[in-house]
Amino acid sequence: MVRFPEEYDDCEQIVAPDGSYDAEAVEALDLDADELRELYGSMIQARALEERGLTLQRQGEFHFWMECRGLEASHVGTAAALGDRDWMNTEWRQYGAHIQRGRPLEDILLFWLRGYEEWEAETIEAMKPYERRLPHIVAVGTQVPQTAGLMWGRKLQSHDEVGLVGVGDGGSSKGDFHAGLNFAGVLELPVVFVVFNNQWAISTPIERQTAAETYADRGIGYGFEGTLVDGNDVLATYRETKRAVERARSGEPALVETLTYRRGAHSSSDADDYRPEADREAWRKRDPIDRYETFLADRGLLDSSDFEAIEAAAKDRAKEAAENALEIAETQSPSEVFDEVFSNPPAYIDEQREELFGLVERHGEGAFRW
Amino acid sequence: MAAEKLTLVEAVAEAIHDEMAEDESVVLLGEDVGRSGGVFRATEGVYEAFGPERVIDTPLSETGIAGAAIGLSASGIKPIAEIQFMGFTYAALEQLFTRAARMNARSRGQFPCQMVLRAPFGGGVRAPDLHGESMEAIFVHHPGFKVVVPSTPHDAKGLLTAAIRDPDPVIFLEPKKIYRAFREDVPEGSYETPLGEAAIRRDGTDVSLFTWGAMTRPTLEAAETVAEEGIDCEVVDLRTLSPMDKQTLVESFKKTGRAVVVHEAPKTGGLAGEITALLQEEALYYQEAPIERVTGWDVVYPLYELEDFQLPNATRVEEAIRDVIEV
Repeated sequence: MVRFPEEYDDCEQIVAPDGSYDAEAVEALDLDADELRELYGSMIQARALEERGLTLQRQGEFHFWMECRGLEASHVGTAAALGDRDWMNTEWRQYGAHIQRGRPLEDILLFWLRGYEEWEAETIEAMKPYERRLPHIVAVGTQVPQTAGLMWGRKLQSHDEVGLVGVGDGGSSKGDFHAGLNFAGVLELPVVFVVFNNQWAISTPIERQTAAETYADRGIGYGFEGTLVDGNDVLATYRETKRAVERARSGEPALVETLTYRRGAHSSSDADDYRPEADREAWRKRDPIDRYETFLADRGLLDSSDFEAIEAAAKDRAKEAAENALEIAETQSPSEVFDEVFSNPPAYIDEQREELFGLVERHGEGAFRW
Repeated sequence: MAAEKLTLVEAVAEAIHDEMAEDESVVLLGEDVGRSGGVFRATEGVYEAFGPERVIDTPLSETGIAGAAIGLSASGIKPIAEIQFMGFTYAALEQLFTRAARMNARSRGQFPCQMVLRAPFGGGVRAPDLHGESMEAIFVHHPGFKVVVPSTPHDAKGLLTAAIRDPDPVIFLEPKKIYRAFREDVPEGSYETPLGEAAIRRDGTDVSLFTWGAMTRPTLEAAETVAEEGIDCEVVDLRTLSPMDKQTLVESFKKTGRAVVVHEAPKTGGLAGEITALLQEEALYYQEAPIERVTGWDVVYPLYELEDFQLPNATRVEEAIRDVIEV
């Protein structure tokens, strides 16, 4: 059965689905007007990027694409709670999280075109905030103990940094989830674990994933606090993640569950024919962007003409970034097959590279492209 | 350089100790590696020397150990992770295959996965199920790893030192049957035995015997026995299984034209097949006889007294040598 934040007494919320809000809680936030507008911009940009990616996949330009509709507040709100030197390891639909940390759209898209990622910084110390991440995870849930290890290592080197790792309700069923939270609890690691409970793992609903009422309750099993938050409320998500980040910085790991709903399909390969339309409609009424627009307008931070202009700019930016990314990715050469498989490559890598080059030379690249 | 007589397991402990003393970014993690010094004493004295910050008794989770080691490596630390028995690496395989092996490639070199995963492997100690596995081929087959198996105390120290310093993930498999089988001179202080180089343990001209780990000893024993019959065997200890020292293998085979490959892992899909294919590709016209494989049977590892029939011994190796000579 689909879940809703209002069914829980302890589900944190600041902005309700209709845009009404707890004014006192808003005053208490450490966000200025620009920062409040920035959260909106990131969510709009994420949605525009998702739409562009899906269009390009349908046109055959992208091989595969993950959807994030409805999850924008969970992704943006959690990322916004991090400091510039903190780390963020994501699952692969968290576009808004990367956008919030300043990652260029081209860089996000290139992962989908080339399967690898690149960093500009030569060293960890020189990394920009959005570069403080491990490469994308594909094996669901494996990022959880890896983030524990990463932050253990940073702590051993006396860096005052926190790591945030996102995992879905599906990934939370894996042993990796348990291993990561257990290690963090025992070793007192500065990690914030975020379960993006979007209630569907492809076609598997939440009640087939867990018999527990919340994921937040799991915290107690690892010796630290778990918090449940309305994942479609960007401000509550920000506030609760920020609290968790502060706890983590003082040496106590933290767990946050953002209760949300994936309104789009799992991916571009998903027929999405397995769930009641009524659920999707119910969650459409709880859209994270709609309610935040009402909030922003009420606070006088942005008005309807601003919303239109921001959305139009985000769409243009997504279109332009996709064109740029496609152009960059077009230059992939057969040599890249062998690049960076090892840091200190054994001789067979070069031998096989030469073998492939010989084939390409004899038959032409066209004989291999398909 | 001064030397001391060490067993293989003592040499492992010394390599870890020396590297941790030399490089403070090296840490050790695993189950029971700290206060107890490891179930085989392979990390004895390390905790006392470097303390609980750098020598960590982890919760019982191979997934967690491997996952944490990958993360530690990305953070700039050089982890040595112990999995208590090779059979328990199965729980860590997803972390190792989906991440450790491809971290460098997927990050375009930004995050090399400099880590060593040590595991005692192989049979011969009458241990329970999953304590006698030798599944080295799965790590050789999966791209992205280096796979190392020492067979002497001297090499154990030198190879482990090289493995810790190598920027790629190294699977370091320790033949537990010969952890304490013999002592030999091991130089004090650090030295590297280069990865990717086989060692010729016995020069010979009639048959090449290719092997590694604990099987090196029965193979050498067989070579001595048949020497009395006038058959002169060359024994090549591969030491590194990936990357394999193809040149040494092929040169030896070109000299003898006959080969027996000995490993305790099961036959089908095992590395003896890979080595046979290599010799066919590179030196077919030197071949005088079919290449023999002396391996474990294709069975789930037989336990306790049945181990006697699973592990290749000198008798089986001798028979194979005579077979390839008689052709």
